Amino acid sequence: MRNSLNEIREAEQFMLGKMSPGDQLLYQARTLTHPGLRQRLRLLKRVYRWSGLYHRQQLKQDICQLEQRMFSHPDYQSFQNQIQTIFK
Amino acid sequence: MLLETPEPVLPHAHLEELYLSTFPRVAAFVKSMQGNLEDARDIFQDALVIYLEKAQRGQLAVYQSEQSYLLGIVKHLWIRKFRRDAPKVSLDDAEQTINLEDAYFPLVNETRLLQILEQSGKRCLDLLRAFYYQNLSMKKIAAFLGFKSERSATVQKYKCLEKLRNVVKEKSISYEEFFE
Repeated sequence: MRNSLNEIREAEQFMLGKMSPGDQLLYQARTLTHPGLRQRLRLLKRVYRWSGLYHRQQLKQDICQLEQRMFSHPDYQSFQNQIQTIFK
Repeated sequence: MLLETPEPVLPHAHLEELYLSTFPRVAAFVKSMQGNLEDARDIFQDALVIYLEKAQRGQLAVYQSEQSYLLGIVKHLWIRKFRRDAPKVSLDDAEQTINLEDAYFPLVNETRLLQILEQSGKRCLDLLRAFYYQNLSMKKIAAFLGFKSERSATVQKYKCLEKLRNVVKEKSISYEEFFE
């Protein structure tokens, strides 16, 4: 388990650009000769992308909640009127 | 279940202020492009998502003001969505430097993929999101998500990587169906 955690940590450092240029080149070279490393990096990149999709979806939900309020609540009447005027 | 919520990148009051100060300018732009209120609301939401993510990553390069920067993102999104309008959209020097990475734009089947992952591994997605995109330390993640220790959260993160891969495998989904 410890080795796997260290490998993941290392792959993350590489993927997120947190390694020195020299270390990056070395790691990249290692992935060429170690299929396991290559697979792990590939998985990490996919999961990173999926997490990003989820993150943006959650952000959008938060924003939508605020936006719904601003376009319907009486507290924002003058804002709503301003926008309606633009689209008349 | 979240025991606490992480601090938001921008407090709601600030987001509200962005709506009040910037949305009218966005509305005027969308109107000039023959768009309607719904177009304006949709595109501003998308622009805010990008803006918040750039803020979290320290990638904001705000040359003039937040409002101008946000409007610049909106213009780029408009051009991307309505390519025929590209000649009509003028970008000033600062706006031209705004970069929207492909990662911000989901591919066609990614919505379906995300639904599947959410059904089977929402807790994992919350953990990975907190680590990769909300820049929270494992200590904070452990506290927010109710893990006994930082080490438990770290081990769980590792298991989550495997779990999400297995979900895709179990559902007999080929990753290539979505991306390659």
